[in-house]
This record gives sequence, C-alpha cells and structure tokens, in this order.
Amino acid sequence: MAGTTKGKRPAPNSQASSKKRKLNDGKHKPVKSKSKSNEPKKEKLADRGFIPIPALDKDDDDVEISDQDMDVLAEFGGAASFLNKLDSKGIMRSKKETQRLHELTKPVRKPQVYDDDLPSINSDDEDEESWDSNIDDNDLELSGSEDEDLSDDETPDHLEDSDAEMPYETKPRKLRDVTQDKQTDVQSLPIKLANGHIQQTGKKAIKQDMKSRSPPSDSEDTDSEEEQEKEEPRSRLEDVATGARFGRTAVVDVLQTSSRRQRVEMAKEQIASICQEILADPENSLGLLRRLHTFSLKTVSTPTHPEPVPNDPIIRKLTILSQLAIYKDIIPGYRIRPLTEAEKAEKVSQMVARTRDWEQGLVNVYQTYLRLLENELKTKSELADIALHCMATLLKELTHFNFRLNLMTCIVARMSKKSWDASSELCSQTLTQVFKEDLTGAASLEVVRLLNRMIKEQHFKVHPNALSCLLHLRLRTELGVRASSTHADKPEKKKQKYGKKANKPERVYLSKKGRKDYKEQKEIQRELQEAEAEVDKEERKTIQTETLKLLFALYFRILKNPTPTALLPAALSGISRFAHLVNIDFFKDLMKVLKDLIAMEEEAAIADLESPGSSASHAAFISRQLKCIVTAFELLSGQGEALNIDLNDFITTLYAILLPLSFSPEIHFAPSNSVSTVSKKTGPATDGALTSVADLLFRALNLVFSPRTAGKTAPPWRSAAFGKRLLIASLHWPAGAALRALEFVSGLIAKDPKLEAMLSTEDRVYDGVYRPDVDDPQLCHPFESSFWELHALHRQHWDPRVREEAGRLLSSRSS
Amino acid sequence: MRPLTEEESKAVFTKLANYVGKNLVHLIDRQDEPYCFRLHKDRVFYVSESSMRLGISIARPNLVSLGTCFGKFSKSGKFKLHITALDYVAQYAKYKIWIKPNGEMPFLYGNHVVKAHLGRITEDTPEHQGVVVFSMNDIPLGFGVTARSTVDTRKLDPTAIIVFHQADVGEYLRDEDTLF
Repeated sequence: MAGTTKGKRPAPNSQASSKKRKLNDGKHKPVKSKSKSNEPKKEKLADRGFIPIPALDKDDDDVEISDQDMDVLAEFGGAASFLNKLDSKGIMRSKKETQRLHELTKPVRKPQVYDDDLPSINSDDEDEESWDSNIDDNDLELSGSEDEDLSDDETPDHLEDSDAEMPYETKPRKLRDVTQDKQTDVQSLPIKLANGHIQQTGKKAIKQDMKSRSPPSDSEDTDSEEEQEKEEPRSRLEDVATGARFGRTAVVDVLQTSSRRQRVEMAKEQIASICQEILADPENSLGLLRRLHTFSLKTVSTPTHPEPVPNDPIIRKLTILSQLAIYKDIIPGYRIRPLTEAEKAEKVSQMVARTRDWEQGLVNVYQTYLRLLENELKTKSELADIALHCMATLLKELTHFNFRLNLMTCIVARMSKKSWDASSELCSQTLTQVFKEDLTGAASLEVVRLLNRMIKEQHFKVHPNALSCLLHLRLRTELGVRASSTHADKPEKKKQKYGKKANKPERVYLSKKGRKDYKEQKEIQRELQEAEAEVDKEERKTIQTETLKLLFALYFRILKNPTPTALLPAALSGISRFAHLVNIDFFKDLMKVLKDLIAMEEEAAIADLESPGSSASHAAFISRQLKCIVTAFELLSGQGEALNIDLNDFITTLYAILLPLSFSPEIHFAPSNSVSTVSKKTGPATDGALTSVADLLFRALNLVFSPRTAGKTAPPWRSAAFGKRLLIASLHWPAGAALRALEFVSGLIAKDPKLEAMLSTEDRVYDGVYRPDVDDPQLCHPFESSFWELHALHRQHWDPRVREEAGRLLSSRSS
Repeated sequence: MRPLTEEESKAVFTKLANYVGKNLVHLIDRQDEPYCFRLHKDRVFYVSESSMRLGISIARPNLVSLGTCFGKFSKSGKFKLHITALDYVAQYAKYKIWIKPNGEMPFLYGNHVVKAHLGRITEDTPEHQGVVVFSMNDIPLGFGVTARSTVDTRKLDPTAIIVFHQADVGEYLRDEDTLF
C-alpha cells in the first residue's frame, strides 16, 4: 500500500494543483496544461491520474477557449464555473487516481484534526515500522469514504497548501493560540513549593492535560496549536509510539512534566484510554500497543528527543501491568508462526494480508514486551517482582502462544537458587499450573527439559522444592502404557511396522475407480481429523514418553550423584510417584542405587552418633532411609505384575531401624529439614501425607506386608518378627504411635493365624532362643518369644485407648 | 566318627556358604548349645556337642547315624548336600525362591523349576547361586541352583528352567534306601 502511494504521489499532486490553480487564477493555467499534455504520451492511460475526455482535452489544449471561459467565469460568478469544473474532474479521474485520493484524504483529514500527523505519514514511508498506522488510516477511510468523495477536490489543496501557504495558515492559529493561552493562564495557578519557590509549570501542564482529556473531535484546535508551538521537525519524524497522536500528548512530554503527581495522573489517563481503545479494536491498534510499550521503557528517547527522558517507576509498573491485561485479552488462541518465503511471495487477498500484518505485528510487539520484562528480571531492578508476576501470568494464561519457551526459561531460571522465597514459590506454582492444564504435553516437555538442564548446570545445588512441581505432570495418569524410557519412539515404529504387515494381506483388491474413491475418502478423513482439532493421542503419547524419559534421567542423575544432594528426598518421592512408569530394565540399577543409599545413610548415621551433640539429625537419617525403602516398595508394587520379588534387604533394614526409632520421641513430629517441607507441599497430592517419621514408617510397613508386594501372605516368621519388634518399640513410643503399632500388629495376627501362638505362652512348637538383638527377622527366632508386651500395655499404659486396644488384642485370641 | 580335616571342612563350608552365605556362622555359633560337624562313613553330620560326646562311646561299625546328616563325600572327594540338611539350610537361606502350588509336585518328583511355576524370588539373585525352594506357604521343599539371575529371569519364556534341581523332600520316599 505504502509503496503505491509513494510511487504515485508526485505526479498526480501537480495535476491536482493545476486544477486548483485553474480555479484560483487563470495565469498559471497555460503552463500547467502544457505539462499535462506532455505527460500522456509517456504514460498509459490507466496509470495516469486523469483520463482526458476528448472534448475537454481540446478545451485544455486550446488556450483561447479557456480564456473565454475565464471571461464567462468572471461574468457569471465563481459558483457556477466551480460546479462545472468539479463535474468534469470527477469524470476524468481514473480509478487509480481515485484510490490515491482516497488515501490522501485520510492523511489530509488527519492533519486537520491533529496536525503533526501529516508529516509523520511521509516519514512512515521511509521506515517500515509504522506500516500499521497506514492500516489505521485506511480503515478509517473505508468507513467514511462516501462522505469524503464530495470533499475530494478540497482536500488536495490542503495538502498542497501545507507547503505553500504556511504563513497564511499561521495567522488564525496564532489567534486561537492566544485564546488558548489565556484559558490556560486563567486555569492554572503557579504552585508554591515547600521551599518557598513559586513554580510556573502549571500552565503548560494544564494545557496538555486538557488535550489528553478532550475527545479527539474537540482537540482540533489544541492540537493545531500544539503542532505550531512544538518543534515542526519532530512531529515529522515521530511515529505513533511516541509522538503526540490521536489527541494524546507525546510520551516525552508526559514524562517531562515536572510535578510528579500530575505526571503520574496524566500517564494513568493516557494508559487507560489507550487500553480501552486497544480492547475496543485490537486488530487496528498495533500502534497503540507500541505506544503503551513506550510508557514502560526505562528511558524514553525519540528521534526528536535524542537525550533519553527517564521514566517514572510507577508509570512503568502501571504500564507493564496494563500490558499484561491487554495481552491476556487480545492474544489469539493459536500460535502465530512466521510466514515462509513462499507465503510472503504469494499474492493474498486484502483480508488475509491484513490479518497477517496484524499477527506479525502483534508478535513483534509482544516480543518487545517480553524482552522488557526479561531485562527487568535480569537487572533485578525494583520492577523485577512485577515482571516475574507478569511472566508467570503470561505463562499460565498464554501457554499456547509464541515465546513460551522464553517465559519458561526465565521462570525456571528463577528457581535455580539455593534459597526458597515467595518468588520461587510463585514460579513453582506457575509450572504446576502449566503441567496441570497442558493437554498436549508439549509445554510440559519443554519445562521438564529446561528444569533438567538447569539442575544439571547448577550441579544439583538448587532447592528441593524446585522438583516438587514435577509431581503434577499429567503423564502420571495419562500415560497408561509403560513405555521404554530409553527409546521414546521405538515402540511406535514397531507398531507401525506390524500394522503394515498386518494390513497388507488383508487389503482387498480394488478396481481402479474403487482405489481412487478410497484415496479420496482417505483424504477427506484426514482433513476431517485435522478440522476436529482434537489432541492426537498418539502424538501426546510420544511427547509424554519423551517427557518421562527426561524426568527419569533427571531423577536418576540425582540418585546416582556420588555425594547425596539435598534433592535426594524430592527425587525419591518423584520416583515413587511415577513408579508405575519406570522401565523394568532400570529396576536392577535403581534397586542397587537405593540399597547403596541406605547403606550410605547408615554409615552417616553411625558417624553422626560418634560425633556428640547431634542426635536430632539422627531422625533425619532414619527418615531418609525410610524414604528409600518406601520408594523401593513403590517401585516393586508398580512392577508387581511383571515379577514377584522379595526385597529381603530392604525388609531387613526396615526391621533394623525399628529399635533405634523406638528411642526417638519426635517420631510424630516432622523433622525440620527439607524432607518434610517437600512432602508437606506434595502431601495432598501423593497417596499419603508423609509428614512425620511415624507416617513414613507405617507406610513402609504397610507396603512390606501388603498383599501386592508380598504375594498372598508374608512368611510367618517375618510377620512374627516384625510384630514382636513393633511391640517392643511401642513400649517406648508416645501413645499415638503405640496405638498405630498395636493396630498394625492386630492386622498381622489377623492375616496369619500362626501368630496367634505368640499371644500365649503355652503352645510352643519351635526350639531355640529369641534373639532381640539380631537385626534379621529370619534369624531372630521370633516364635520362641511371646507378645508379653501386650499385657504390660494392657495393664499399665497411661493412655486408656492403648490399654483398650491391647486388651482387645489379647482377648481376640480366646474368641 | 571323626572331626573333619582341613580339606573336608573347606569343601563342606563352601558348599553350605553357597546357600546360607554369611549366616554360616549362626550354624556354628549357636546361642543355645555348641554344635559341630562330624564325619562318619563318608557322611557329614551336624550334631550338638553333647550328643557327639554320647556318640563317642559307640563303636564305629555300630553307629548308624547321629545328629543331622548334612551330606556325604563322593569317592572323588566332592561334597554333596543331602535333603536332610534342608531344615537348617532353609532357616538361614540367603536366597529363596517360592513356587506356585501347580509347580510343587513337578519339583517334588525331581524336576527342575520352570519359569511358569515361579511365584516369587529374592531380588538380585545371581546366576548359579544356591537357592532354597519354598512353597507359597513358606514350607521348604528343597534346594537347587539358579540358572539365571533375577533380572534375566524376566525375559525368559515360561517353559525355561530357572532353577536346577538338586534335592527335594520327595527324596525321602524315592531314595529311602540310599539316603540313610
């Protein structure tokens, strides 16, 4: 568009002016008509501005006749001849000329309203940035084109006049200016500052204030005055993003207002009006978006205002937030992709072109906004929190849109610190939200990939809470089939292969026509599927498998880290959460790692015991061991169907830590290290809230003796040994834990009738001695002992509930 | 009846360690009573020291058996574990395998254990490791040697052998004549 106007402008202008001069004074006419007669020989008719009517042509060529006309004109007065001329011109005008005039009318009309618009259109042609403002103009023009046809002949003169008749024009404006100045003088009083100085700034400010408040139709005169008083050259260079436009004060001027309150007030109003306008018609307000963005810049500098003007943080904050709200509303529900070269070259309809322009423009503006946010975040300025908040919201709301990777990168980077604060919590929650609402899994994949890289690059020195958001990945429930974690797409290919093989023999012979029909049908089917826009399950599966692969890579890397990191508990809970998806090939390695970890914790605990004064952390070691055990059994129950495995070592460890645990009075309290915070956060989501060691312990016990992991029943000696040791421990535990232990033992007895023998001292079938000191349920000969602790609990425990429970257990045997 | 020589005890203990591993010490180091190994007519007996002292008074040709027979030395000097040792081996076994009820009888007739009959197995059992075979009710049925490690077991087809038969309680009937 801009190109055509650019090309066309010079020649027609002269022609239009020739007509004008014909009207105004006859002296110029002969010269002009000569030039006109020269031109037609070179140009095509259609390209020319005017297609001469043969008769008129003669007239034009013939100087004498026109002179006669002038005489007639002089005789009968201007009105009649004017109408006559107008008519002929309308007839002669070629289509292109009409279009050109249409385009011209806009910029011309604008200058009437806002005077500095006209020159900036010229500058628009030079820089490509402002093509959108052209669109604005065209659209406006479309609506009012019919009305303007009448005034067509008038507008060109204005265009001409802007150069030629400048002194003439200034006079009345000056007059208005004076009145305006008077008005402002009356309205604004000088401000007396605290230090006694009298400030005269109010005058200018109020003028602008009025301008910004006054609706566009009213602002005609104020604007013209402004154009006159403000630098002419600047208005020529500035575009819609910074200059005074649409009845709004130039950004620089707003920011240069000396009174802060006024400045903020003005900015507020302008932002509000811009936002309103954008929302009213988003597709035509790229310029406004850009203008809005200008308000959020740190320093504003324009072509005419080369020295940067510092921006007020409050204004910036407001602008950033309003931009957030705007983008949330106007961004379309699809991703905008860059046009290919072929598409650019292709000719498209105006509608399509406009949509494309709008889309590309929106992406650009959005990108600059994101860059700004990113900058704020990186420089850790005062607006960093706001920027983060904006990014989080954008990521949550506009996950589908372009640049989500940039958003994710920023947010993930925010979680890479060792400490944990409100902002990281916000990031974590955002990611959780993204995971929860991610239908296709593509966004999750990107986030997991970023997290993976971030944690690797930080050498695992991040806060464990950073991992907690991973627990909300949708693939936990959606990825039903256990897929190979090493080769994401292998099974897929195989299936296809099989599918082909299976299909081939089944294919029925089709005639040529039938085949053609079949092909068409297939095509239609494909298109229909595309149109349905449903999430492809196969595709999602591939993506989720890829995500899973990354996820486990991350977890395993944490587990296999030679020195256990703070992330370990979080990784363990993650593995146990996704246990059903772990590839069976990794099972052996995982078990080995877990076993090593338990051994390591044991060593650490022993070392810890030797060093005095740190008994509190002993519970932490134990709880970590318990976590390992729980994870192992979760893994096993996930793989339960594949193979029934007896996790002897883990069970022995569990048995071994029962006694040390009986000496920890804080069994019911959550240990104060990271383990608990993670589990607390994820608590509601995981199957059981593992807030305390007791919870962990009984969870582990239940897993060990659950029918899923232990086959039908656990071996009787194991149940007996655990029951015996639990009762020993329950003598020392607080009432709550003791009660749970009693309940668990009664469950064991109910499962295995052999244990009933231990409730009395009479029937003994085994020989040997019970060895409470041996940490192996197999070797401690539990059946040589009895549950005498029950009697002690029944008779002497201070808590009536425990007494009752113990009594019930004792009497259950006789019944 | 005499104590084992250095060589003999080494053969016996390596064999036993294949099944019970480190728990071997619990066989010797018993809390209730000291136990010892004695050789009599190529057979190795596990016997409490008090019984052993009583047995000393019986002449060698007249002594049929004492304590628990663990196995016997073959002519070539190798030690073979008998099913009679099962009680002790089962108690201290390091690696165990549980077989389903439909696999019990085939095993008791002296056949190997196939994958289809596998009910449960101790995790990461290595290859060629002595294991004790249990029924699902945790009753010891015999012992054998694994053909594959636990991990490899997974990939096998159901008819593949996973435990080679060595001794089972069915021998009490089948080999009644030769066993004692």
